[in-house]
Amino acid sequence: MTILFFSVLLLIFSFFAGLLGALTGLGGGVVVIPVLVLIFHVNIHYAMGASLISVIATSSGTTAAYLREGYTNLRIGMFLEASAVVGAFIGALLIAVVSKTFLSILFSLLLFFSAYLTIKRREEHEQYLQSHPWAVALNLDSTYPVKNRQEYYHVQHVPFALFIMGIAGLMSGLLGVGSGTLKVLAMDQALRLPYKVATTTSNFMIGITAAVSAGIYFSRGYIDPAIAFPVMIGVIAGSFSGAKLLVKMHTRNLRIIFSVVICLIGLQMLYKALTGVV
Amino acid sequence: MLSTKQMEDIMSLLLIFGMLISAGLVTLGGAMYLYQHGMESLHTELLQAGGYHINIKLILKNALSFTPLGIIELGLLTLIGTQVLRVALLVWFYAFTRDTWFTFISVFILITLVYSLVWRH
Repeated sequence: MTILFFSVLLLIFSFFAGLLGALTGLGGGVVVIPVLVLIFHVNIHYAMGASLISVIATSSGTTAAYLREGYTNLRIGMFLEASAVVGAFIGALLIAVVSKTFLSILFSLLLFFSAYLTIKRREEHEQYLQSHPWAVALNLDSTYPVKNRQEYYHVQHVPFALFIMGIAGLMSGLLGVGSGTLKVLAMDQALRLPYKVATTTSNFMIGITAAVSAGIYFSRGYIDPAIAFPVMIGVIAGSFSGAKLLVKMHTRNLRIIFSVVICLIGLQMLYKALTGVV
Repeated sequence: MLSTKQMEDIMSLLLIFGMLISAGLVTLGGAMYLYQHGMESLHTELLQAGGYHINIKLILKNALSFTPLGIIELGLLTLIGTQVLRVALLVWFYAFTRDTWFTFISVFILITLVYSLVWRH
C-alpha cells in the first residue's frame, strides 16, 4: 500500500469518525483507534495520538456550529469539566493500586447498563417545574431550540452529576478512556437535560479534556503528523456534516446510535480485559 | 454589557478561525508530504516520522524550516492552542460579568490546561 492510498482511506474513515462523534458527543476516537490498529496495524500509541487529535477537531468543529444553534450549555460544560479534572488527578494517583482488568470489566458492565438507561429515557414524557437548588445558585438552567422556538429546561440532581463526573475523571485517569460516555450520561441521566443539549455540551467539553492530555502525548512522541493529518482533515469535514445532521434528527434515533456505540465500546473493553490486552 | 449570546458568537468565530488556520496548515503540510513521499510504501516510510520527543520549540523550528511534517505539527499545535484560547475567553467573560464562581472554575481549568501543555515528563 502506498502512503497516498493509506492517507486517502484514512481520510474517508475519519470523515465517518467525525460524523459519529458529532452525533454522539463522544469524539472520533471510537472509530479512529480500531481502524488504525485493526485495519492498518498502526502502533497503538500513534493510534491514541491520532484519536486525541480527532477528539479535539470534532470538539472545535461541532462547538462552533452548536453554539450558533443555541444548544450548548457553556456553564454546565465548564462546571462539570472542573470536577472531571479533579477526578482525573485522583485517578492518576490511584493508578498503581487498582487492578486495570477489574476496572475494565466493571466499566464495560456500566456501559451496557448505561445503554439500557439511555434507550429507556423518554424525555418528552417528563416534566420538571423546579430546578435543583445548586442549579439555581449556579444559574445552570437555560433554553434550547425546538422547532424554531426556544424551550426552557430545569436542571436536576446536580450532586449526582458531580459524582458521575468524578468517576469519569477517575476512569480517564486510570484507563485513559471513558470520560466522553460518562459526560453524556451525567447530563442525560442525572441533570435530566434534553438529549441534544447533553451531547452538544459533551462535544464542547471533550476538546478541553483532550487538550489537557495533548502536552503529554506530544512529549512522548505519540502524535505522528503523517497519521494525524488525514485524520484531522477528515474529522473536521465529518463533524461539520454531523452538526448539520443533529439539528434535523429525532432524539430517539440519536439515543439509539449512542447506545449502539457505547455497547461496542463495552464489548471492546470486555474483550481486552478478558484476553489480557489492557 | 456583553451578553452571553454575544460571547458565544465570539467563541464560535474564534473556533472557526482557529480551525481554518490549523486545517490550512495541516492541508498544506499534508499535500507537501504526499508530493514527496506519497508513492512510497507505507511500512518503510510512515512510522519513521514518529518516535521522537517533541516540544513547542522544536515544532516552531521545524515549521520555520518548511519541512512538511513540521508544518503539519504547527497546524496541530494551532488546533490545541485554540482550546486554550476558548477557555481564556470564558475566564475573561466571567470575570467581566463578575461571576465569581465561574471565574474561579474557568481559571482552574485554564491553569490545568496550560500547566499540562508545558509540563514535561
